[in-house]
Amino acid sequence: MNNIDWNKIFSYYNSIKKLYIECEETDPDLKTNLQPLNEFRAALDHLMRIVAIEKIDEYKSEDADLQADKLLSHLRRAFYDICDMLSVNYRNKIVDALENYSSENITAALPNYYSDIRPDIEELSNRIAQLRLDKGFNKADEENHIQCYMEIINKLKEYYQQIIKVTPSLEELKKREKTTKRKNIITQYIIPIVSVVVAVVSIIIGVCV
Amino acid sequence: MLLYKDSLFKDYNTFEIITDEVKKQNDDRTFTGGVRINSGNYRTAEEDKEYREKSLSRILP
Repeated sequence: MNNIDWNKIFSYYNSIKKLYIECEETDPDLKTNLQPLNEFRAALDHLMRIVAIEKIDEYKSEDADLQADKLLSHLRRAFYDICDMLSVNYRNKIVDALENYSSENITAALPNYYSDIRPDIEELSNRIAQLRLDKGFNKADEENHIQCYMEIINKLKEYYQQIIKVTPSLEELKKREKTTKRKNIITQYIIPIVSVVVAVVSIIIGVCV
Repeated sequence: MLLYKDSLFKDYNTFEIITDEVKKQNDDRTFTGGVRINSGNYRTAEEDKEYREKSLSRILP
C-alpha cells in the first residue's frame, strides 16, 4: 500500500501545464521552451513505474512512494524552468509596451507606475533571484517557494495587463505631445524668424526707395 | 506482454545541448504532436542564453 498524494501530483501538473502554454504564448517570437519537456519526459517515466508497481506482479517489490517523490521532483524542476522564462517574457512585454512613451505620458496614463509598479517589478526580480538561489536547499520550504513564485508570476501578469489597458491613453497623449511640439516650433522659432526676415526686407525696400 | 524491467527502472539521459547543428538535423525530422518543435520554433542553447541576458539587461522605462 503506498501513500502517494495524487491530488498534489495532478494539481502540480495542471498548474505547470497552464504555465507552459502561457510561456509559449508570451514569448516574443512564440518560441517553445525545450527544457521542461525533458522534465515531463522523466516525470512520465516515473509515472509509468508507479503504474507498473501497482499493476504488474513483477514490479511489486519496488518503492512506489520513492517514484512518486521523483515524479514530483521533475515536475518542480519543470515548474522552475517555465517560470524563469515566463518572468523574463513578462518583463520584456512590459518594457516593449512602455519604451516608446515619455515618463510624463506614462505618469499621466498610469499615475502609480513610478511610485508603485516599477519599484515592485524590480523587487519581484530580486525575489525571483533569491528563490532560484534557495531552490533545492530546504525541501520543507519547497511548497512555500512554489507558492511564492506563482504569486510573483501572477503579479507580473497583472501589471502587464494594467499597462495594456492604458495603451490607448498613452497613444493619445503621445499624439497630443507631437501636436504641441509642432505648435511650439512654429511659435518659438518660425514666427520670429519670419518676422525678422519681413523686417529686414522692409528695411531694404525702404532704403532702396 | 513483453516486460523490460531493466529499461523501465533506468533513467533517461538528459537532453543534449541544442546547437545550430542539432537544429539543422531536426529540420529533416518529423515531430508529431508539436507544431512549434516540428517547425523549428525553438531556441538553441546559445540563443536562449542571449535572449535571457538581453531581456534582463533592458531597463524598465
